[in-house]
Amino acid sequence: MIPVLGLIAGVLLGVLLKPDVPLWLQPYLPIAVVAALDAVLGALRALFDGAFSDRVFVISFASNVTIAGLLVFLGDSLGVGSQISTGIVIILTLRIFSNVAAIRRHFFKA
Amino acid sequence: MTTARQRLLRIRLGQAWHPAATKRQLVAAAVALTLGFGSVAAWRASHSDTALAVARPEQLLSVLDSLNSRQQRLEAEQRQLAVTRQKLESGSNAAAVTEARKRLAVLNTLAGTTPVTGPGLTLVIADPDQLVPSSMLLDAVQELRDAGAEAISIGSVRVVARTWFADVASGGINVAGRVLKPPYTVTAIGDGATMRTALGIPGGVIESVKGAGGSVRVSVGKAVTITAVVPTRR
Repeated sequence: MIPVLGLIAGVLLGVLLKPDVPLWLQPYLPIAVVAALDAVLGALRALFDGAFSDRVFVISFASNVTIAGLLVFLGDSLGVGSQISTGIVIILTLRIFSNVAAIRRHFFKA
Repeated sequence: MTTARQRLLRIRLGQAWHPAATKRQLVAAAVALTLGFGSVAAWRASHSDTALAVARPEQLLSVLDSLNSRQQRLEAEQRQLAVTRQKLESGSNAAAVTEARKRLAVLNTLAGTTPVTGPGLTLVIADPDQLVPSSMLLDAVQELRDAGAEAISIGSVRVVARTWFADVASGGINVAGRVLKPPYTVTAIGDGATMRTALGIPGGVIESVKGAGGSVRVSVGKAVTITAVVPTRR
């Protein structure tokens, strides 16, 4: 319950504070959000599997976001930024789908 | 088996849902807070007008390309519409048709292929003794033409460019192959007043006819009709 409240609090904070994303961060933020979403859904799946660990959650969250950002930065430096962004989004979306499928199986056994 | 798994799931969910200030819940909450905050920030960033400022060169190029092609399409459309508008405004087609119709009417009148109605005059040359020569009739026609007659007929003969006049020994005048007997009725379409003045000048048609022994009656009308037409060849 507290994590859900934390999520709601984060959204409220964003709405209320109206954060202005610095320009250098703007290309990486959407990818980072998708990566974070993947980490959160992975944590949810682990919770239902009985394998949830806050340490793993924090590390996977941080590493997902960091690696996604670094890869995009690398791609931008090499001139293949848009392709790498597309690739990362595809991979993360696939993982999100598989995580959601696993969670779904717990509830509906299908 | 399934019931055991369901029970296990319910226990896990209950544990996770139960608000307890454990370390793992607080850590998870902090991470979730980060996610929520970042999502809103990303949403705001993607909906701000700085999106172009941080776009990649390829994205900018594709945006530029699409804008260029769109501009070209719109320019072509604009040119086409401008041409259409010009056509419609000048109405060159309609004007050409009107002009051609007018010209056709004029040419028909001149060629004598259509009956004509309009302002003009009627000239009746009474010549009971048949003393008026054909040359005098030709003079009258020339005088009328000079005065601006558009169409002339004598009796049932339409006078056109190639109409000829000849004296007939037995009396009367041969006009383009048809022998006319007096009185000669000359009908002319044009400015009636001008033509009457032209006919009445000293030494003019009226005086000549009178001198030859005939008499002339001129009547100006607002709507004179010439029904005689030149027989079309073939």
